[in-house]
Amino acid sequence: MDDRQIRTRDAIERTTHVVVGRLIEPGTISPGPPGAHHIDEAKFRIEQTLTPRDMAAPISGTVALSYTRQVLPKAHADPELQRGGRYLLFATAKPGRRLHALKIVAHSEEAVRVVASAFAGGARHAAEGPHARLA
Amino acid sequence: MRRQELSSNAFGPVSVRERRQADAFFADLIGARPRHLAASTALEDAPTGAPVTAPTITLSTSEVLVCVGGVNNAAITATTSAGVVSWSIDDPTRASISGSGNTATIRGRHPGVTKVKATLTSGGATVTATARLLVIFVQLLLRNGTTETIEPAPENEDEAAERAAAGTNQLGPLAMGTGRADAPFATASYISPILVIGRVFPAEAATRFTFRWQRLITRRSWRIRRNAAGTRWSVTLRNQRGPLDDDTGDPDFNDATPSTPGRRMYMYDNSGDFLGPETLAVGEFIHHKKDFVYRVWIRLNGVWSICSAIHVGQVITARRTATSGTVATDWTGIENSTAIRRVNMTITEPGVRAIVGGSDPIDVAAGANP
Repeated sequence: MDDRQIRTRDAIERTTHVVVGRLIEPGTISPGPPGAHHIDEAKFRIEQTLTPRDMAAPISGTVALSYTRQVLPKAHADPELQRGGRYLLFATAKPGRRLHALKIVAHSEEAVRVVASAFAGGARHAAEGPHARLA
Repeated sequence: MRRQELSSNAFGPVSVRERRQADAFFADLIGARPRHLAASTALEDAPTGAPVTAPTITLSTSEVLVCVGGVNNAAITATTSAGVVSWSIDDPTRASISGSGNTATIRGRHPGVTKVKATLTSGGATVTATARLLVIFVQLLLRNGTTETIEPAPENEDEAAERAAAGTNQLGPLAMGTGRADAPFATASYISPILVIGRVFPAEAATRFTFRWQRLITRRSWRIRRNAAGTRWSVTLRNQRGPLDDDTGDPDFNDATPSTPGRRMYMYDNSGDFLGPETLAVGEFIHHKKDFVYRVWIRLNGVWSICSAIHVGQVITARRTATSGTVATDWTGIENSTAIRRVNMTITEPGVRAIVGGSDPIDVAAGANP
């Protein structure tokens, strides 16, 4: 997840989609980088695609999301995602209706405005790969 | 007669242009028409009577920066008054150069300093321009021996955090149930820590530039189980990640500032498998393959580019041997190897046979290799 490190504009430029999703199932965990968990197969219901339509096809329905959650050192720990919570997902589309999130932030009107402002300011996603079209 | 005089040694070396000027002067003097010139020669020279100027050449930069590696080419451009540019490298062991007109592409071969040379010949005159060429190399090494440890501070400034994350400073395959301090993996994982070390060449590059580590991951794991009758092996996909997902992690565990005086930077990982929640029966296996890409990025002229990269492949196989509820005693490590190599993400019947032995049939599920 590591959203302390990645600014909104950088996260947009390193992913293929920004979406709003609600966490349905928290997924499975396995050892990630030092002090971090790999979370795989977390189920999100996608409620909104914030990426402009001319940049990527919108995503809808339920997707499986993977991400990395830092837990150590405690001073750098990412909060645990809450089942039922709404989040902004800065993610890259993968084969098989999967997304990999580079940055996750809790949903708020302010967060949505920041993303919209970044797109309006010229932020663009990475060039679409062969798996970028998920919808 | 005049050609003999003009080209005689008494007047030193005489260029074609000088001879033409002398011919034109003589023709004007005596009212004769100039001799017909071959087309190829005529194109090289200024029209008769035009002011004659020496050719000029300037380069787009006074210093070219390039890394050793096929994706790290640099370009340089010459601005000239006329003519064709010929490109060369003073020390061709350091870099290769391929020119296309006034632009050249430079590929680093060996770290060090040399010069890029652009030579322009026009109208019989030759001029040369040079730029300094710095070839940078970050050598990547893997430290993973069973008797080796995390590089201590102050050489590796993140050693304390790395040791704390693993509960040990040992590298290489660890005893079952050790190697992670973060719950729920502590006491329930099979881990093999590694340290990737980057050394910067030449020394000048270590202090002039900023570097950044990046790790990417592609991984898949499988369960190898017996069928209900206990007569066949069944292989199913357990989980996967990637391809090429960012796995760099927290900067507390990767130090991208070259040390002094060793010019080394360090990236640590305590990768492995979490066996705690597995419900396999005794005699069944977990098999896991991870393909990591370690990259060092360098900031040159305000732009980040990849300077060096290696693949590190990890292969993990563990066998369930008991069901007491304690990973350290319930599982036996068969393999937890790491090496500079590329591992593929498929599982095959021969690969499974090498793990399970015997001759019972093996069924690789359709979804095992998505």
